[in-house]
Amino acid sequence: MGERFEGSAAVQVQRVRKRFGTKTVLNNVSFRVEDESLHGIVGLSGAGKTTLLNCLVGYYDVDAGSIRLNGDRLTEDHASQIGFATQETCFYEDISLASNIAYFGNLYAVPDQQLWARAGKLMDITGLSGEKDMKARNLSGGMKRRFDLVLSLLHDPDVLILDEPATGLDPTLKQTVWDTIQTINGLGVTIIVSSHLLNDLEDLCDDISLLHHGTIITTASPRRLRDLFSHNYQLVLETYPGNYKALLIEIQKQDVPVEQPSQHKNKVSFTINDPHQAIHALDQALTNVDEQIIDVSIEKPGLESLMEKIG
Amino acid sequence: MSPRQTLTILYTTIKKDIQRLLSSQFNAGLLILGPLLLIGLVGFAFQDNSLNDVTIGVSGDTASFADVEQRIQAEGYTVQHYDNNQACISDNSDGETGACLIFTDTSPTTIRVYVDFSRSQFAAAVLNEVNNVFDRVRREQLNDFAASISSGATDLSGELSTFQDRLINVRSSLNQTQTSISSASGEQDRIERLQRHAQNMSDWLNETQSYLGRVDEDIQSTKERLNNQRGVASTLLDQQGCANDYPVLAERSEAEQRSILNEADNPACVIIWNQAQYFDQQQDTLDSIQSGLHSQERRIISATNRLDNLTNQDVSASMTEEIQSVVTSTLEQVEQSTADLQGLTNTGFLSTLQSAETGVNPFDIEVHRHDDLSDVSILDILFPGILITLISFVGILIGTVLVMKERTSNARFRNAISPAKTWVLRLATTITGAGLSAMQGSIVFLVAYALFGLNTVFSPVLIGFFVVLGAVFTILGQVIGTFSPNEEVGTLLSIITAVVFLIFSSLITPLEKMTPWLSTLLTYTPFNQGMRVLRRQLLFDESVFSLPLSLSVLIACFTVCAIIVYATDERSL
Repeated sequence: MGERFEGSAAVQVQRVRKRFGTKTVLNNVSFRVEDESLHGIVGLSGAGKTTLLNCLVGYYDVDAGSIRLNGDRLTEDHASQIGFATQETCFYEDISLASNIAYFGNLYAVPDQQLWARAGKLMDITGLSGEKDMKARNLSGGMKRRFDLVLSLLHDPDVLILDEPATGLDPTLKQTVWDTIQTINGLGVTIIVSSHLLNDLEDLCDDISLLHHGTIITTASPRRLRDLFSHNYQLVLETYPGNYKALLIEIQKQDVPVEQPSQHKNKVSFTINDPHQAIHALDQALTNVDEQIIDVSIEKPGLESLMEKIG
Repeated sequence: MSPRQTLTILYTTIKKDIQRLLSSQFNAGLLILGPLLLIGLVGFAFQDNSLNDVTIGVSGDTASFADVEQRIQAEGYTVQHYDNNQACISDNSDGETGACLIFTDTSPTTIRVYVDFSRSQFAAAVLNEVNNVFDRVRREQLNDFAASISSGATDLSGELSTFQDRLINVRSSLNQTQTSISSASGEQDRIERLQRHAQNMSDWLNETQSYLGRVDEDIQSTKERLNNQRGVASTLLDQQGCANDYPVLAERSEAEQRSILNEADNPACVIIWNQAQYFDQQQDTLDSIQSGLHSQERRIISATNRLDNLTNQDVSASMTEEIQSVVTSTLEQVEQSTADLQGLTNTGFLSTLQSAETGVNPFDIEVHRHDDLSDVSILDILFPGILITLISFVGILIGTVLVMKERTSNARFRNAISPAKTWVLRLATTITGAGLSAMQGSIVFLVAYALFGLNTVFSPVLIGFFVVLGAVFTILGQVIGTFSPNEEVGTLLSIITAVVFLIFSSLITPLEKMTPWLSTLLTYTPFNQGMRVLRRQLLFDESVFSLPLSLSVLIACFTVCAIIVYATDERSL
């Protein structure tokens, strides 16, 4: 695209509380989103992610605390600085893409010439060029999510907020959506994205806030989160001819604890405490059982496991 | 947000709503072809104003009412005879006949009409038609009566005129006789001439006597007709309970009579009594003429006898003069009588006799449409109801559907977080519904006007009123949509609301038939007030602004609904 979307935004959420009746959905939520960063909100179902994002776009008023956009307290006047896409596509399916673009563009008071220029570029980015006259209901699931992103960006927002944008898509479509989000972020748009697809987010986001029962547990980079919440490592191994049962027994004989072993296709993985000790024991065991190594890796466990642990 | 931006959002939202409503061919077809189909059916169905295929049951003394029965058949209705009254009534209540007419042999004769009021519109239509039949029969009978009287009067007048001519001839002969006698050369010659002329005179007088007899018969016949009418008037006076006043009034002075009659409780008595009085006056006049003619007849007989004698006897000069005097006197009397009758004819004798018929039928009630409605068809009369029904159904349904579609649409969230004010979006919905309702009303109107001869004028003010009506019903639909839990319930509620409006309007059952307080309350529904204005505009060609109360009710209704719709926070629902 070659153009950098204007607008450098920072979102600061301070001690936000939101109640529905007697139920407190968000309690003392605080975090900060840096300019042009891609910030993840991770939480299990019912943690309060959608409520938090609805507060960030101004759909819900907060009961306590504050939300600041570029240092200013969030008001209705900031509506045009925020773009939003939800886990359900937010447009009219019974009219064409062009009609949707015209309608939402006008709703945000985008001048016509500018609107169609931006729409054209965004449709190119999202791979929807040529579908302008198609009725929205005829788009595929992935195309709908991408078109939703187009609509969210029509008015050139400073901050784009995405609520589980890849939920329900097959792996290929998910990857397409994530790629598109990264492209948009690469253009300088600050993005806040929520998901329970944690493995995807850890590769995508600069920072992640962990939301649990309406409270932010912490905000940090994905690697820092793994460090904070896990002292173990995951060893993933592929050998030939693949007699993994004998191999694991041989490792254990050398006083190396092997926890949570599991086999997927031609690989076996298990948790270890000390990587150095484990590599040494593996080397001995391979010789003893006459196995040849094809691939081996040792890494911190994914956020998926982390959330399971928190849950 | 600037006014220009607000207008842009309004425009683009209306455009979007219309695009959504027309998103399927079925929807588009329904919106455009629906009203065409409706008016096509209605316009075709009500091209003919008369009632079709209606059977009228008759029972009782049908022979006395042959005129009525013939007229019913002449109007295209089937007549079914019943042997007993109860069967006639029973078949009517079963819907076999449109009306049951029972002819009674009371004096004066009465026709009892039974119609099924549970089908009030049909009953009213049948009653109207039956009443028209009675009216036509009554008029035919009146015409026959008037023609009969007129014929009698004309005959009488003709006879008298001929009689007068003959008397003139007689006088001329007498004059010639006088001249001839005067110019006689001697007494003998004079007597011979007198005898010769006397013979001619005798022939003339015999013939005149015969004429007088015929005139007398004509006068007698007219007197009998008058007497007959007076008898009917007396019966009517008795029926009205004022028979006793008649002889009493007759004895009073004219001023007293007028005073008493002006204060009479029953105006029918006044009408009938005046007619009876008139009959008496006419009778007196004819009596006087008849008496005069009888006198002349006697004198002519006497003169004829004298003349007969003259032909055989000697006649003295004095006798000749006496004969001449008799002839001259007779001539004068007949001329006077002829002048009297001619005067009666010329000064409204016939019209007086016709007005006497009014006395015989003092309650000749004619049901008239308003002048403005004299040329209207059934379609014209139905049209305000059709329009208000169409606009209310379309407005309420579109209002509800648009709100429900918006509420159930995922796009709702994007709208909610946009800078556009909520009231602008809701106003756009109102405008869309009002516009589409007005468009449908206009289509129906134009088709009815162009193809089915709707008898009214299309005006921009009318379109404006369609928009107002559409806005009122659309905002009502928006209220329903706002509080309905889902689209199915919303649609059902909107249809129920529209149907309730229809039921509680005078289109199906007159409001006046309902419980008084409910009737008063229901008068102020937007449906009824809208119809009131449309009737005024379409049927009576009066401005929609001529009913400020109705317009105020519509505006108040819109305002209340608008407050509810615009003040409701969807997030709280």
